[in-house]
Amino acid sequence: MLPLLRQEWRLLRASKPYWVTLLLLGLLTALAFQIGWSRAKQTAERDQRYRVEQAELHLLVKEAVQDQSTREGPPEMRRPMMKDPPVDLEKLFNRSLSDIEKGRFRVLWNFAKGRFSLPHLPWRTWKVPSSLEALSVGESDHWPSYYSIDRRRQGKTFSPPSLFNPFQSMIGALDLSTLLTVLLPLFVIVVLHDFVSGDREQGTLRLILSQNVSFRKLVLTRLLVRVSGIVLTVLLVVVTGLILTGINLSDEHTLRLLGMFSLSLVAYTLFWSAVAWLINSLGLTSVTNAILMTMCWVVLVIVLPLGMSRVVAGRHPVIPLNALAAKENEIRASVRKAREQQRANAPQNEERRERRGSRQEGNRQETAVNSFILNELGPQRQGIAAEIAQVFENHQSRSDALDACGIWSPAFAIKNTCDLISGNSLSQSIEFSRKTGEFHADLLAYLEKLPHRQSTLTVEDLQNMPVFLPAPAARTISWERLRTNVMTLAIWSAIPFLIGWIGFRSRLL
Amino acid sequence: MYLTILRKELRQLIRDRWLCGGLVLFAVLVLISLMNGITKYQDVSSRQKSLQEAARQDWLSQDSKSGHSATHHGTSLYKVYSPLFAFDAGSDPALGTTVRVESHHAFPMTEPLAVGNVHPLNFDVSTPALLLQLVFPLLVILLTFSAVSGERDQGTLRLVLSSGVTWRRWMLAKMGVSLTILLAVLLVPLAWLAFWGCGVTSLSGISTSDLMSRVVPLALCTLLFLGGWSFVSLAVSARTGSSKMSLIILLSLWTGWSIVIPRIAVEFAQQRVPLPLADDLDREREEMAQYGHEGGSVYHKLRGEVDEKYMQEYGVDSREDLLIKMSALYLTAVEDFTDQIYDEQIAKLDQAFASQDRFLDAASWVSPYLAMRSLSTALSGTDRVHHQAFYHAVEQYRRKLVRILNEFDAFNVTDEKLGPEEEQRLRRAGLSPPFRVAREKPGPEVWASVPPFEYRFPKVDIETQRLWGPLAILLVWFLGTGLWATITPRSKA
Repeated sequence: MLPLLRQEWRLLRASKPYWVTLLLLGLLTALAFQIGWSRAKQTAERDQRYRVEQAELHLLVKEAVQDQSTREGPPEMRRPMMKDPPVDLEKLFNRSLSDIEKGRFRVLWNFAKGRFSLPHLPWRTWKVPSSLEALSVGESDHWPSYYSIDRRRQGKTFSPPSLFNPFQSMIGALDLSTLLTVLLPLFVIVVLHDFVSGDREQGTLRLILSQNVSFRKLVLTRLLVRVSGIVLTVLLVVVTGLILTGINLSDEHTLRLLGMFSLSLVAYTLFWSAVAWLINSLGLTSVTNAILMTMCWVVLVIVLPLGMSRVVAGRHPVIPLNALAAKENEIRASVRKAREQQRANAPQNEERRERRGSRQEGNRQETAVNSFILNELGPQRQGIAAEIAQVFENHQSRSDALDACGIWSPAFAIKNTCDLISGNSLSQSIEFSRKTGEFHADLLAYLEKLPHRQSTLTVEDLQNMPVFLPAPAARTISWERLRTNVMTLAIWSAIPFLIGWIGFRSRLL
Repeated sequence: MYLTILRKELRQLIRDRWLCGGLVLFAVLVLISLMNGITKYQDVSSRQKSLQEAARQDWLSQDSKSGHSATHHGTSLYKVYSPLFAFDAGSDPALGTTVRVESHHAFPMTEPLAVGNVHPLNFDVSTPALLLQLVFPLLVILLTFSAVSGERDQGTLRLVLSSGVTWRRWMLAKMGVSLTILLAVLLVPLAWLAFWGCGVTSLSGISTSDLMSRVVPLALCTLLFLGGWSFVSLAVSARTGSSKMSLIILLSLWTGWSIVIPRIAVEFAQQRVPLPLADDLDREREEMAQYGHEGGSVYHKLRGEVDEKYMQEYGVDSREDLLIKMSALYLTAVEDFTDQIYDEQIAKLDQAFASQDRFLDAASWVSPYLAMRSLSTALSGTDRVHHQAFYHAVEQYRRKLVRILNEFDAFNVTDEKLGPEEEQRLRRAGLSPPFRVAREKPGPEVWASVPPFEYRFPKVDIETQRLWGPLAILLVWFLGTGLWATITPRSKA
């Protein structure tokens, strides 16, 4: 085996097209990694920014609630009447603040005290980026990785927070996962389409076989040597990129993820090598081999995934998240009507109650409003929450169906692996959105449960208030799915390889 | 002589059963894709039309108590699609299909078609246009990469050249064969598209002549683009030592021009001219609406201006003497003000998009695929500019609706307030818009005074200026590569 390896290596060293191909592959991998990395860097910066922002907000709310100085002030705070916070905010946040920030925090301080104004604060939810996010853009172009919690409307929270150039969505992003899924097979085609037929066409195959060597062993060695160049080029660029960008590769979780990525890459490359092996076993010309392999690429990378995704989309219809806002509007309209009716039936309004100072009338009013919240608002909010939960369930079942498609398409399997590792897979995005929806519903439900008379919050209220804690990226990864994908790729590689093994006969000479 | 060579080349090609099989398979794929596009267009258009009719019915049958509350009841408008959506969906699937029309706020378009789709591989070739512009060049490469280098590998090139045929004539024959095949693949889907499109013009309000003025240039541009690819392939094949090297170079060119450069260009355009966040725009609009450019309460300022204007117009000293519902006029003034803010924001956003487009247009010089996509989506009426034209029409309609109903409220003086003398005085004052006396709450006839939304699909010249660049690129691409292919290489054999 070793002499064969040495001989193949010598042959390969002299092959200029092979090295040109590897060089191109290396350059493209570096480029795709750079693009993925620049996006990942933005995400990491945003993650850090939001962490600080939300921590400061919580601190501000806590201080505002503890502050007793403005309790005597008017219950309804209008902007012109807003007071400066009695604490030194720069000292509180341990950093200097610009005038704009001071103005903003002044408004927030005054808002932070009230039960009804608390949802108006800029609460956010965001997804913690994976350490290997640079590997795939995944669904991050279609599913937001952060949400601004809307004041009142759960549905509106899911409106896309960022604008995009439609041309971008039409063209798509160049990331490492796309490169590996779509372009890597083309490199394998270039390198391997003539790995047997080339020798036959030049008449050197008979010469090689005239030596005491097994034909299959020779072909297998040649295939493995050529493929290893492709795999090593990609891995080398990726690992170098990760090291240069400061990723801690000694971290166990990152190392495991990188291991899974490498295994998937090897298995996917082996699959395409096995296709080359099978086609070369048919004894056709190099040009025909190239055509056939490209046809296989068209079918396996374009037609099959497209067809399968169509089937999945047809079988698992979903409601777009931003349609939830419209749905909620309908529910809100009915609430508004109910509220108008309630007002019409209510004997006195708040203003008159204060003027009269009648405690009995006030109690009646409060009972009416509490009963309205209990009978109208609560069920409506629960209805909206149930609607949102159902939508997420539908999206999740679609995502599961897509994951299952990995069994039928190696391209699906490798893409799904990269997306999962980078933390941008469909299932992870759905899970994050679902958590956002739950947090929003919990927050509103909590504020709703507070007694109506309690227009300002207490420290205890604040301690019990729901808080969004972003799940660490490690916890969102399904290792079982990753293992299944690698196994699927291995099985896919084995099938054409075995057929080709049987197909290689001496008549090919 | 030329025809003899052409026939020989064509015969040689037809004898390659794998290649012929590939071409037939591809042609079938394009036809299936077109059929799918047509079905999708018909589904979407008929759904949009029926939803639009239902929204109009809902508008006419509303029970709002006043004009302004009707503007809050609002209505929905549904996007009108070009029939060429079936060929090239362009950016349309990523953009919204419907928009709410209400007072005070210009809502964005929501419910894009693409949300229902799944894009697991981030490599969409689901439309006939993408199949022809992205995948077909690959087939063209396979068709021609060994056209000359294969002869060289087999040693038959000397034989061909010794038969008396000139290099240029031989290459022209090969180019002729390539163009014949391209025409054969393109003819059926594009003819089908034109024929079918003429039958569904009523769904989109596009005239047949306008449709044809889009389809014919689209077909020509596609032919120029693909022709350029076959010429490049022939030229590379003539200049490389082996078929393998030719394949490597051509696949690299395809990868670079069709996949890598467009994606990098889009990424850099986004980084160079980042777009604002929707949240930030909303907040800015809200703050501006409250405090304006100069700070202070906008509402009070506008209210004073309106009072002064109408008191002067009707010659009264006090606001109370006016028998016009001033609150409605204040709302109109606020609307005008917020519209102005919105226009400023849209202008800024358009500028950002235009800068990104300029960057992409510049990148088209190094990637003919980008030029082709720009032309294809523009001619199909599925690019951002066409979407923006629709949204602009929607916004104009919204403003018209709000103005009609606010003014209705303002000049509908109720009978309790209006005595015969005041009525005479207002009539003498010659109110504009015409003064009306309403003695009942508004009903269907008032809602019907707001005309239904009618959208005429823009003509092809909506963005002629912008398209000259990509068109020039395609012409240079076609002629330049054709010339390159016919130039005799230094070493023929």
